[in-house]
Amino acid sequence: MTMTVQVASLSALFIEESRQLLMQIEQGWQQAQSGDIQWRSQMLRQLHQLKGMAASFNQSAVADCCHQLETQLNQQDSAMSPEQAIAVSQTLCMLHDILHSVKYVAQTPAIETPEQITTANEQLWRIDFKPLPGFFANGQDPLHYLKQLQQLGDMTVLADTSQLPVFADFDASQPCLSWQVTLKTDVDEQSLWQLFDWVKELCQVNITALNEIPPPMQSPAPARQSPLNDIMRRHQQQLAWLQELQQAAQGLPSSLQNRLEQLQLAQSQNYLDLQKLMLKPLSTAYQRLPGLLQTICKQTGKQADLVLPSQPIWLPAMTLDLISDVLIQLLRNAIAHGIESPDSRLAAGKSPQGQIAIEHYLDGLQLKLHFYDDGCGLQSEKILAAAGENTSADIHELIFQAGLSTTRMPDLLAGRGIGLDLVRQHIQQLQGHISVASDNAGCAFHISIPLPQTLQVLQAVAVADQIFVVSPECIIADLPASSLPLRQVSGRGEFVEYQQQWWPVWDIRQRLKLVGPMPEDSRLLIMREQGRQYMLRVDKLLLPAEYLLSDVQRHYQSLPGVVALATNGGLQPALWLQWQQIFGERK
Amino acid sequence: MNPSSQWLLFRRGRQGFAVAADALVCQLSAFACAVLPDAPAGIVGLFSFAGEALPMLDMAAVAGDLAEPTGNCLIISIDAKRQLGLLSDDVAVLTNTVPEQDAIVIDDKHYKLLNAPVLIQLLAGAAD
Repeated sequence: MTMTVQVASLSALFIEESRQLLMQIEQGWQQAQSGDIQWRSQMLRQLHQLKGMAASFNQSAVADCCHQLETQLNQQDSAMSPEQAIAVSQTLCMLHDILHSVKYVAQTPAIETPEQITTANEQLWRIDFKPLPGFFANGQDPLHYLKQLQQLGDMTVLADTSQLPVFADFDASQPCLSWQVTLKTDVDEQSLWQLFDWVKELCQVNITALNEIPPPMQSPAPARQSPLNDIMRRHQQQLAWLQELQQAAQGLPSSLQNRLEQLQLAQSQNYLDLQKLMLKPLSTAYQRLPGLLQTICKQTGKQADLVLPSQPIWLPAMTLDLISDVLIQLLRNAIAHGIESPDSRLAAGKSPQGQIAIEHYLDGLQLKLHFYDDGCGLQSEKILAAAGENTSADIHELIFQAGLSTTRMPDLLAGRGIGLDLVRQHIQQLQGHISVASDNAGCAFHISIPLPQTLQVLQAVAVADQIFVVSPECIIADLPASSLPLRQVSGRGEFVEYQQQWWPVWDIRQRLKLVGPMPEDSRLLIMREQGRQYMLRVDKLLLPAEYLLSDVQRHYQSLPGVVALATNGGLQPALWLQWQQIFGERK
Repeated sequence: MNPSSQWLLFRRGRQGFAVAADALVCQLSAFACAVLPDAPAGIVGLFSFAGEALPMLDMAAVAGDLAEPTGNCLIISIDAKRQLGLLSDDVAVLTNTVPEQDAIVIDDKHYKLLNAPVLIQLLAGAAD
């Protein structure tokens, strides 16, 4: 049952992704017809991507159609004749029809994307919104409701400022603005009223349907923003209120304080659960690969095993989509060019069954992906021959070059010289890096991708009023500081003797100039990182917990020694620092 | 209505400031920052807002003033991608007053305009 549901949801995902990709191809085709010369390579890449996806879902009709289109486009060195252009348009229409029929046959619950909904039942509404006295006193914010409306479709807002008093008479607790909103949305009237459910006593709202809008023929409405972002903002506000309540509750019965603490913990857990809705497990990208491998092996008569990692890693959905496509292309490439036929492998003293393995791990916010195969490795002579005699480029670079292929006759699997070009493009789009290493025992692609966010279980430590997180694997021992004799060495700080060695003690409180007395029961952590051992002095160890890690560069800048900002959903964030760099830099 | 014609006024330390009303993401009455090693004057630290790591700027510290600690802050969008926090002594109020050069003047009180270029410069300056 689980498997059926999984296949159905994957199938629906394929149809949706294919449909979006086809829309991009059609847009490219329209630009091409208006004279854009970049269109051909872009369309070819997108077609290749669609072909790869279709093959991984055993949709040979779609893959065949893409292949025919690729052939047609590849043959055209100059402008197309009107007949050829019509043929391309018709093939694109055919692809549409095939995807439609695939969806019909699959009979999976339809994924209603925003654009599907908006094109079907769009309606124009006028919403008059006027907060009444008491609106602000109840902690409400009109901007929140306007933003909620904005997420439902195309919106224009007119603010009525006629009731705005002069500044001297201004009372921030009294509403004096009202808004007239015109909203184009597929959402029905009842749902619009529901938005104001919580404040219906605190504001005047009028909702009027305006004229009907015919569904647009081609251009889809812009995708809606995730309402999860708004929920997270509200979470932050609620945390702030909880903090105020906790401060105000000091001196009140402990049962009340306990309840507030429980509420805060529940809020934090909700926050992390929300994050998990926004992030996706990397394992999702692996789900298609075994099926794709089986299909390609059947087509080529080759045999191969696939070993996939199991450690959970969470990453943003957009990153996941691109990585998923990278892996599909690498797998196709490995079977087409790397893994030999069973006979050739036996002749080379290898087992007839090829081995393909993927490894992944996190290095701070860097996702490291390694893709190995034990095939014949990069064929330097063939690659250089395909590149032409005049090239001086490294073969490790040439394989990513668009249009370069060692396959003489393009087939469904390879031969266009697009697959690895697409891989590099996706990695570049993710601001990552890819390199390849090869010998006659196989080929290895090493990929590094910076993640804006991820989730990880980390060990937290407290120093003064600050929290820091460290990787649990780095902690070798945790010792009470009072159990070891500390010695001050003039100009070099504190040292401690442990297991017949003198260790420098890195004092976070001192280094970061944190205020507050050090507790008598402070701890010394023996840490090992990048082959070096050191001791960290902390106030106390907290329980290991799941943390959301965020990149600090996105809104600020790259900071030496700062890996990420971590939060477990509570108010106090934690820093993940590279202690060697933080203490080393000072020296 | 031109959104940039509305400004939010707030005070920090001895000075008043104005930010475009449409740049306001949220006002918070409590927050906590992670202290950065070797942070430049003005950068209080990093805080987590809706899953993002944002810098918190103290305009009083930028000006070299000693100001009372505050629990209030404004979350401001600098541009389509970046946001930051600004410490505030009070709750920001809205005005339609037209700025005079780089400030809004109301009852002889000056509120220095903090628009996107100024904030970007401040962050970069504070980072030096």
